[in-house]
Amino acid sequence: MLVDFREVAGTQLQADACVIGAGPAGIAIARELAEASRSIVVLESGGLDFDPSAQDLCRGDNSRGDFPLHTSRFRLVGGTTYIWGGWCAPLDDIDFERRAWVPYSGWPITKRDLLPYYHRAQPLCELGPYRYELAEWPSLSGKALRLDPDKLGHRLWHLSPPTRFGQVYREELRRATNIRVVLRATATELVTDENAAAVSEVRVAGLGGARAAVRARSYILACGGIENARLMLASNRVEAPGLGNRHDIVGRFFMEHPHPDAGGVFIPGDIERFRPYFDRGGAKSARVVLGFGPSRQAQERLRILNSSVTVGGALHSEPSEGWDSLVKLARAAEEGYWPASSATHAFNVLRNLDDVFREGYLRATDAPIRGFTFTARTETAPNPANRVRLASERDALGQNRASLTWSLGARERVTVEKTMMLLAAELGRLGIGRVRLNELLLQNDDRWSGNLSWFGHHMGTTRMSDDPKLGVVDANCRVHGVANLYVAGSSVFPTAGFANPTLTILALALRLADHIRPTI
Amino acid sequence: MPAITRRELVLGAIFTLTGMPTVSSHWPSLRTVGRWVRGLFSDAALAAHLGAVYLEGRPEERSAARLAEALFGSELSQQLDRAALDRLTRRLRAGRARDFHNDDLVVVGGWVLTRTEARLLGLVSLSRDLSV
Repeated sequence: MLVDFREVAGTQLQADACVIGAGPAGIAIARELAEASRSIVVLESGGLDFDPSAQDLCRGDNSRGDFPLHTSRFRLVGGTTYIWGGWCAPLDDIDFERRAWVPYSGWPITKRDLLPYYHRAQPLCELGPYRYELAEWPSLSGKALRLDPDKLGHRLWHLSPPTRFGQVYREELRRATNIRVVLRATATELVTDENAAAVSEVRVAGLGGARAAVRARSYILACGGIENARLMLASNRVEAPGLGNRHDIVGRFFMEHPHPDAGGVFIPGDIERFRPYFDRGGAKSARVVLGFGPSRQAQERLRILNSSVTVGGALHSEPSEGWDSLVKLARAAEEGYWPASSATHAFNVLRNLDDVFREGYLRATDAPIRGFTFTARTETAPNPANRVRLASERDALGQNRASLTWSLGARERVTVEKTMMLLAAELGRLGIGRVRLNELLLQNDDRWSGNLSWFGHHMGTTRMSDDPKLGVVDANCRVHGVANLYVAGSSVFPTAGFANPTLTILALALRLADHIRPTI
Repeated sequence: MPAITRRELVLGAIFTLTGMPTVSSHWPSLRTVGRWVRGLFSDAALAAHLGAVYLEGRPEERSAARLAEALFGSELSQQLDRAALDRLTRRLRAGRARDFHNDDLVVVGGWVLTRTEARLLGLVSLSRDLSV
C-alpha cells in the first residue's frame, strides 16, 4: 500500500524489513521480500510525482562543478529511473577480477555468482531474455565487423523502454498488503545499540516537521550512490566517523562514467557496412545497441581501464570539435544548466566556425551521411581520495548536505585515447573509414575533462570487499560490523566497468533479497 | 595551427589510393616521384598542409629522399612506367595494411593515419618545395 507520511507521523512502524529508498533497487527488494510474506516498510523521501521541495534535499556541492548533485538523481518513487535512458548491460568478467594495473580493483564475488540474478533482472526492466553475446543475435552478428580480438571486442546493450519504476510498479505497490511505501518520509538517522553493532530503528522526518520511527529486523539502504553514504555518515551518534565507518571508507572511492565526445569516423564509401552500429532497431525483435570496447587482452597489454565507444550522431561532413561543442551547448541550453566548461565549448565553436557552418548547411540540405560521431565512456579508477562527505550546510530537515570532492586522473583520459586508437586501427584495417580523435584527448593535461557528459552513475561510496579496511559491505552487501544493515545499489560497486549500472544494481538487489529472506 | 578544411577530399584519396595518374619518365628524380605522389590526391595543397603538420614534430623525417626510401625502398626504379607505378601502389597498400596490423598509427590534425599515409603526405609537402 501507499501511505503518506502524515498518516503515520508520530508513530513507530514495525516491519520485518525496512527499505530506505523506493528506486529500482528498493522496489526490487520489496517485491521479492513481499512475495515471501514478509512485512516491508519502504521509506521514500519523495512522492509519486516530482516535487521540487523534496528534490531540494539532494542539493550539495560537487568540487568539479560539472554536474549538480540535485539534477543527477531523483527523489520520488522509482528514483532516477524517472529520467534514465534505459541502457542495460552486465559487467564483464574482467570487471570483477583483481587487475594488477588497477589499484583497489576486484570484487569478492564473480560474474558467475551474479549471472542468475542478471537473468532475473531482465524482466524488471521489461527486457527479453538475457542475451549479451553478439552470437546470440544472428541478425546482427552476420553483419557485424570481424574485429581483431587482440584489440577490440563488441559491446552490446539492451534498451529498456525505458521502464519508469515509479509508474510500472506503482499499482503493484499500491495493492500489496504487506508492503507499506511511506511517501515523503526521509530517513534521517540509523539508530544503533551502544556498540553500533546493530541498527535498532530508523528515524524519519517529513518536510512539515513531523517525525516517526521504523523498527525492523533488517534495514536496507537503497537510496543511491551519494545518499547511502550520506546517511551512514550522518548516523554518528555512537561512532563519530559515522555508522560502519571505523576504517574511514564510507563515502570514499566515488566513481562515475565520464562520457567524452571522442571524435568520429569519416566513411568515404558505403555506410551500410556500418549499419549494425548506428541502427538501433537492427536486431528486429528488440532494441539493442552495438558498440566497441577494448578486449581483455588489450586492457592487459595497454594497462587501461574498461571502456566502450558507441555511435553518437550522424555527420554529413566530418568529425569536428566545433560541432561536438555546439551539440554540448545545445544540450546545456535544453537542460538550463551551464557547466563550467561552457566557455571552452563556445570558444571551440568559434574556432571551428567553418566546420560548424558546413555541417549545419549539409544537414539543412539533406546531404548524404558521411560519418558518425563517437561517444566514449570509461570507468574511473577506484581512488580513495574521491569522496562524499558531510558539508557544513544543512538542508530543510536539518541534515548536513553532501559534499563531493573528486578528480579524474590521466588513466581515464589515456583509456579513452587508446580505445579510440584501437578503434581507428580496426576501422581502417577493415576498410570502413578514418577516425578523427577529439584533440583534447591528446593533451597531456586535464582539459579533456571539460568535454564530458554525465548520466548520474554514482558508484563506489560503500564499496564491497571481504576486508573491512578496504570496503564498507561484505560479499552479501552487509555492512561490516553491523549485524542487520545492508546496502543495495551502485554504491557497493568496487569497480565500475563500462556498463550502465542499472542492470547490475537490480541483479545485486535480487541477490540481496535472496540472502535476507531466510533471516527475517 | 590553421584550421584544416575539406579534409575529406584528402582522406578520400588516402583511403582509396585509386585512379593514379601515369607518369612517363626515363629519369625518375625525386621531382618525378613527388609529382606522381601529389597526383594521388584530389587536393594536393591540403595534402601538403597535412604533410607539413606531420613533419612539424619530426625533423628527422624532413627529407624527401628519406621519405621516398621509407615508402618505396628498392621499388624506385629507373623507369617509372605503368608497371613500376603499380608496384609502388601495391607497396603503399601493403605498408598501410601492415601499419594497421602493427598499430603503427600517427595522429595528424586529429586524424588517425597509418605511418605510411602520413609519410606520403609528408612527401607531398616536401615535393611542393622542390618546385615541380
